[in-house]
Amino acid sequence: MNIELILLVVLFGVIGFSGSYYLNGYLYNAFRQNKMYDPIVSRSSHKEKATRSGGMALFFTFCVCYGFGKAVFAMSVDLYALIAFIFVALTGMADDFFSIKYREKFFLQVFAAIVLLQSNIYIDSFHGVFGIYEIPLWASYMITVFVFIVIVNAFNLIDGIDGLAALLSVKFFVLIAGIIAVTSSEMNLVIPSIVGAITGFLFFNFNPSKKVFLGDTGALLLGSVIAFFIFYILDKDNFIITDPLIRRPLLVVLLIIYPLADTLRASLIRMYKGQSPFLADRVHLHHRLIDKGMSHWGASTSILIMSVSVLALGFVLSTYFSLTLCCIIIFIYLFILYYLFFN
Amino acid sequence: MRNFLLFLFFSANLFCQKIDSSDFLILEGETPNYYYVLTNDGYYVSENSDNFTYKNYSDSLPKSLNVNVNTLLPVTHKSKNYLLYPGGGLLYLFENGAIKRVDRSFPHRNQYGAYFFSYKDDLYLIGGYGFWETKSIITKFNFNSGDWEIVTAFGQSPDGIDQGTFFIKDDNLYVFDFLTRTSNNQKEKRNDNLYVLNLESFVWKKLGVINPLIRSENQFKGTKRFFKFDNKLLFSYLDNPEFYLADLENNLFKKFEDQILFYKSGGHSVIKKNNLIGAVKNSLTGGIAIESFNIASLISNGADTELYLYRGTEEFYVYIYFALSFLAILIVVLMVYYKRVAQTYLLDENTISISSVTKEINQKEQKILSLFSKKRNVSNSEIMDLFLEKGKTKDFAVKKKNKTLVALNERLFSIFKIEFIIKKKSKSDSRQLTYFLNKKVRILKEDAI
Repeated sequence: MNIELILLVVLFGVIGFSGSYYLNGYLYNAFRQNKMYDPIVSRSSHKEKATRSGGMALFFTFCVCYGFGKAVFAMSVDLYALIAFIFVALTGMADDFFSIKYREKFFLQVFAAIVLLQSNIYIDSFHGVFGIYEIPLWASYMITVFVFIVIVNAFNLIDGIDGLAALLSVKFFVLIAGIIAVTSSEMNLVIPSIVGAITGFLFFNFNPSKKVFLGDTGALLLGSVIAFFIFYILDKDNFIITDPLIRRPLLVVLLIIYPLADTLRASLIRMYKGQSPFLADRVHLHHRLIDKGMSHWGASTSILIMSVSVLALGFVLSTYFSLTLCCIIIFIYLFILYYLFFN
Repeated sequence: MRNFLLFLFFSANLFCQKIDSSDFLILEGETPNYYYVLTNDGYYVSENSDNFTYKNYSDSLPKSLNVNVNTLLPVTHKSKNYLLYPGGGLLYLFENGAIKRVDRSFPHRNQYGAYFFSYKDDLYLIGGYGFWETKSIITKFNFNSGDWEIVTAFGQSPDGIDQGTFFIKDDNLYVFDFLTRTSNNQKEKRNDNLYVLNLESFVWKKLGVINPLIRSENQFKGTKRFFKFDNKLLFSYLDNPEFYLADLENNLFKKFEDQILFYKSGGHSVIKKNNLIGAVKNSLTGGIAIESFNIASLISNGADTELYLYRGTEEFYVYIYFALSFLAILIVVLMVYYKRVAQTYLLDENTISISSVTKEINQKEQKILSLFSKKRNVSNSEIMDLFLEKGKTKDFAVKKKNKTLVALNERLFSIFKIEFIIKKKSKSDSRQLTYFLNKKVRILKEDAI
């Protein structure tokens, strides 16, 4: 990494942070003046008045950073991916303002995933999982759409306590930045913008006097961007620096282990109870930490540290063991974490 | 300038000696001979790179050699030229003007496109393609039994190595840019990593991802050439006149372009000293000529900027340290911020709350706490104003105030585990009382948000 690139990374991080900080404050005041607070219901983990303007602030910050980066520097993201992100963000905004039905939201997400496929970045190989490498195009498309829906909704579902979705997103983007820096010079500056914007949002998210939530706009937007980068890693045509260290499928699962594990667990519990897997309730792991008396800050940072530890373990194990053995050991480690902290 | 050079090159070609057959194989010659060119009928031998003479084989070719000589894999081992049958198995020795079979094996047909090399006292064959799968096996020729043995390797072995680019330095065999197909229904895929095999311990190790600038657009079988030159790897692709000179130890490569070298190295070619000995087809006469090309001068003249050959995992580890440090700093900064804002209590008409914890309060308590939401120290007289009632004595008001404050503090402490209001005497006048809000506590009225 050269000095010029480091300076640009810092510049875009600062632009993202300051833009997000300003927009979060501005939108918070705008929402407050119009009494547009997030309703406090029985499932709510907060008692303060809070607005769901964080996602909009993130979205507008991304737009500003991208516009600046595109105009001044060689920053570029595939057009179809951008359209998909915008579409998902607009779906989230509609949900934040009008509370659209889940089925409608689902079909809008499927449409966004189909738009994203046009970018030619999709899961076209299993990279040796179950002995499968390349997969047929129709299967690639179906799996990509399915994974997109899962990731986007998983990030929406974990957005139940202060800072959790944002901190886990920061972790994802910070760790993946090294891979993108090597493989795609056009997207080098995208990640510092995103990380800066999320950091600016976090200062409002943890502030009880000016509390701002990501809302569906933010959660769906972050989920879709994360899904895009996961497809980027799993696309066999891309050079991934971590290949000598860890298998790509294991890497992506470990990068988003908490949203995946929590969503899978919550869905299984609901189905076991004979309820819809999409039912909104308080069976999530982070709710258990809050119910045990932990603060939102404590719960979010604990989950962040645990997820980083799982990722680190995955890297270490991959150096010495086969994929199957790595998965078994990581599974045991997850069970230990569950019994120590969540049970 | 380029056309002029090409003109000179092709003009010079007219006067070169020609080989009649297009099926030939160039071999490094032992001292003092410079090189050999084997054909199906005889061979050419040269004392230098400019002249060569034709000779018939001193003995008839072995019956088992039923393929063109240009399909054989040559290797120089202990100053002798060995030739391997395509797919492995049958091994020949070119010696004293004759090709003799030296193995007791059979055509394996299991390692087409493999790399045949000599290391210390042995001959090895690595990788290849056979029976619908790419292989990463290593076979070693046993000179005593005349058969081939499989060498067991360990570590991060690639799934298959077909048409790879190989380079041996010291005890290490480097390989990259190869194709892999692990089952019948799969397409071959290009492996983008650089691997190294220690030839002493036979342990594989992945080194990193090859620079994406090194990539053939249309890689297919037989389209690349690679040579060892000056302890570096010189390689190129048949569809592109760009050459790469890779220094694997220092993780650097130089790229340069040369049309003449591109043509001269197109067919069978070897490197001897600083010269590349190549076969060139003359576009005017249709004949094939053997020519030499001085590479050293080309490389020294055409020095280009050096780029990294592969992104090593060490660089990624450095980045990971940076990323983890960033995350740690972010958490610390947010924690400091959170500690500062976390003890902010929200006060409305009937309750005081923080996060998910709420405590109901009465009207008097609400008014007292409202005073502390405006300033952190409230004088006794200001609080007393809330308790003074017409028809009641001041003493009654004082007692009621004290009782209310104590009760409020106790109730809040029981819920929030922190003392809210602290009573202190004024430093200037000990008779004057002032009430302070605990430094860790901040009260915000709902209507002030």
